[in-house]
Amino acid sequence: MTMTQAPSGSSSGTPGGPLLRVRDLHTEFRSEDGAALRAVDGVSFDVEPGRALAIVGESGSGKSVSMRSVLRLLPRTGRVTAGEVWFGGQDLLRLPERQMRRIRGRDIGMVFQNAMEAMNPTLTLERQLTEHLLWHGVCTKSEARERAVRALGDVGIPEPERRIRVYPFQLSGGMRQRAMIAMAIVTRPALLIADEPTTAVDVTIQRQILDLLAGLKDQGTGIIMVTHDLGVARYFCDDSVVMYAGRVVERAPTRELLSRPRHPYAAGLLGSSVELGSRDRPLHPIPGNPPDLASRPRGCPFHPRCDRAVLPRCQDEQELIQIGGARAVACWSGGRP
Amino acid sequence: MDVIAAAEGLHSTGLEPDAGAAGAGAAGAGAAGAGETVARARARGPWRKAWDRFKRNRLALISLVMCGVLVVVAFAAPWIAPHHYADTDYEALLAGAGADGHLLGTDQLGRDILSRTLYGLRTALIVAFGAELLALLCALVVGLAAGYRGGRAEQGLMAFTDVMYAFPSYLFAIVMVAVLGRSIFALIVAIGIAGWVTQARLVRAQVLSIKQREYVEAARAMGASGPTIAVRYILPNAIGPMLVTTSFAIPAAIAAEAGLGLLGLGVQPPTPSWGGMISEGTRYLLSAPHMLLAPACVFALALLAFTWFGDGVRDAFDPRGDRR
Amino acid sequence: MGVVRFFGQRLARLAVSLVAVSIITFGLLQLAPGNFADIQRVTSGATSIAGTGTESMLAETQARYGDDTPVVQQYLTFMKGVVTWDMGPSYRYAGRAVEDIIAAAFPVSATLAVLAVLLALLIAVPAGVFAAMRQNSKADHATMFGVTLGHALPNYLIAAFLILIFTAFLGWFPSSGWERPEHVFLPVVALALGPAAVLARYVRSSMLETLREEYVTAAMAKGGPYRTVVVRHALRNSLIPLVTVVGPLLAALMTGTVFVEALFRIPGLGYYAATAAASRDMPLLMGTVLFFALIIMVVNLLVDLTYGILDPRIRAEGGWTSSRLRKVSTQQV
Repeated sequence: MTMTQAPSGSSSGTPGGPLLRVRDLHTEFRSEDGAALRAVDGVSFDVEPGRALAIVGESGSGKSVSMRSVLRLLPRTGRVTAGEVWFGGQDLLRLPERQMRRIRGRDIGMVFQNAMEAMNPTLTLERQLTEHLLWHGVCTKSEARERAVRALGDVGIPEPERRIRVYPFQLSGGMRQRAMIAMAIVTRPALLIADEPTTAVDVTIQRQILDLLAGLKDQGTGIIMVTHDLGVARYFCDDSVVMYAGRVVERAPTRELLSRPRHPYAAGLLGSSVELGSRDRPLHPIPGNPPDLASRPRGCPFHPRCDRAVLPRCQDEQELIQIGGARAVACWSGGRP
Repeated sequence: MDVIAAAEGLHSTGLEPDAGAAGAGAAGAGAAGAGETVARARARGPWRKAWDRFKRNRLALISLVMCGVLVVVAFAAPWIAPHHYADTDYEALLAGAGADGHLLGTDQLGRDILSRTLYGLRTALIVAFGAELLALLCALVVGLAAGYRGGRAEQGLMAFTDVMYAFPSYLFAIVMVAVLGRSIFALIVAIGIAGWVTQARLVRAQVLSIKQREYVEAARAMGASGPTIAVRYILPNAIGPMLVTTSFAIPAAIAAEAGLGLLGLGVQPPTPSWGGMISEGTRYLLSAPHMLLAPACVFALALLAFTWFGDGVRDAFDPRGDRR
Repeated sequence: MGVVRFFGQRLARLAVSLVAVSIITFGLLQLAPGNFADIQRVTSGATSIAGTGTESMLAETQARYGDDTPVVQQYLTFMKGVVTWDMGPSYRYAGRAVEDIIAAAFPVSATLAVLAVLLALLIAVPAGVFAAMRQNSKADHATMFGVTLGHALPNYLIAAFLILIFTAFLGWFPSSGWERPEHVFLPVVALALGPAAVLARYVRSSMLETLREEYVTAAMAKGGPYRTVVVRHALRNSLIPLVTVVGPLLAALMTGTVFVEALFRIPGLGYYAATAAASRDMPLLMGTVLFFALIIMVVNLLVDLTYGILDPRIRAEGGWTSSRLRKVSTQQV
């Protein structure tokens, strides 16, 4: 399948290897009529401590599902069918649920897209910020409260002592989003998965959130940033993985990806981005829609929309090909136009 | 459309609900053609699709067969039943099940329980179908008028339903029977009238939604008259949902008939009603439990058959809704 | 809309509905052959021994609803009796006034209904939560099958089976009467099972919906044990809307007591309404029907108010609009 070369070379030099190492992850959903839909189809990537990885793609490309597969929080109809997820010397996919639970929230924190939905409307911030400290037995109840107040202060919420007693809906949107980040980092996890943390907030708050996450990165936290926005990736992610239809189509250091995308889909993404497209030429939206999970095209899933497609070559499976040091692209052309 | 979608997907502050495969469905929905083909597909399609779905539902099919058997048995009760429901056998009072000539035993007057249960089924079904037919007719006439014409018919219906909502239907039926006396006709009227308003409101709502659809507007634009539109276009579309509510109302009506019988407000004795039999059964409970057991079991069977049949009809017409 | 105005409007509507119910009932009863007094004269002799010793009562009724009194006058007289809590004598029950019968019977029916609602909740909440947590498992399917049974079978049929099992075969509980504590068990269970089925299905679907909420996933992502997450994050939020169902259910239960009371011979409101209808005791029938309607409407009103108080969002918006509440509460019945 697509798992050919290990991408660890991209950011070697960190002692002790990567923080998280995902290999050949496959996740399926069972549809109502019983058919299996492949949402994640052989995804591999690494996250190093103190670095940020962007997972970029359109909606439905399988990026969120990949993250939930890593944490084993799929809905009932979803199932990881193959792959390995190495974290702290253990394969999370083979861990008993009880041990997996100890990793969730304590070692791996998760930030969701919309705090309005991801925070319980009927519990105070205090309850929601301290409960996992107590579940994991990190500290006593009074210490937990102290840590929660400190975490709220750390994410830039004024008067944390007072704010900890309110309900989520009593906060402004930006503050709520920051409170959710505080909820994720109060246990000081080694890895933070942020699933579109800036999509639901407006631009000024977006900037604050990204700065906050960048600060965490500088303190040594590994970060996975799931986004459909190349601008966000550029802002603070060291490496990027571009996903399309459940597969990784390109992997590269973010700067290189943005300056010279190799996969036609990555190039298309860049070309249709308002912020990042070059100003001299008009926007070029990618024609067509991402494929339906139930009727995925044969071979490269992108070829029906690809302006460089050559049949029948594109109908063969496209492996990720290493192209120079840290880069890999899943296109037979190697991304050379 | 694609251009817009792609651009939106990448706009730096655009909302992106990341949930499985989107996009393809939206594109398909927009592509649906307009005009006559749609109208025809809507007029005929639902019935065939409903029947196909119904066929695939095993419980619904079984209950359909059971309902059929029950209806046939009720119809043929005079020929099937070993005795007349009022025949008394003084040789065998309160005889247990399996007694000579009385498969399910006899009651305190020596009447055959099996025969009375079968005749009870006949009573129940006559009342239930009669009441629902009455309710359906009232509902269609008033609902169509209210929905299509609006105005006074509509105001009257809404005001009347508001009042009827305040009037618990069982109490209403009790009052009706007290007024009309104890007869099959009285039961049909009492149960039918207690139930029709909800259905009439449903017809009205259905009419209001169909009225807005393009093919009805088109027909009106071409000069079709009010009644023509109501009968040719709106009625066929309202029938499906009506069928669903009616098939749900049948078991409720069966239960209502038995309930009134239990209260001593059912058909005039000695005509058997399950409710009356249950009430008598509790009186001879310790000496003759079969008097209670036999009608209760057949009653439960009939209710379940008609309820599951109703569930099947609903699922067939509305596969996604209300499954819970 | 302010709370006071909302409350006032609802009270006014309640009064109008009550008057409408009373007119319908009274009007229908006028259609019956003979008038109040005549019917009584005919039937009281036939149906009970009441006829003999109650000449004075007949005279009183004659005075109230006599032949020569116009229909409207009769209605007004009766309604005056309702308002002043003096509805005159019953025919079926010699020597007892209608208001006394109602006053004695109401606590019995209310006890039955309240106990049944409590039992229904006690059964339904755990069953619904359990089924939702194990969606599509065998336990879920079994629970849902039980729900179908409870939903399809009327309470008197359930009562019949309960009597067969617990009285005829096991001999544990008596099948009729209302004097000792053991008399309470079977009727309450018979009344509770149907509503329990409705509630369990409701709890299950509400729970399933809540379990799909992002904040439940978020709590799981914090490493919460499934059961803790369900109890702390999902249960409470999925039970708030339950309030809207409990009210109509209580109202439905009140009417449902008619059959259970008849079957177990419990002297509650429903029992008297039924015997009044069967023996054409018109004042008693009018009285019980009106009282029933009143209770049901008051319960519904209280539910709407409670719902407004419980949901902080409705409180905050001041959105006490009846259309919104009605929409909520009719969906679930």
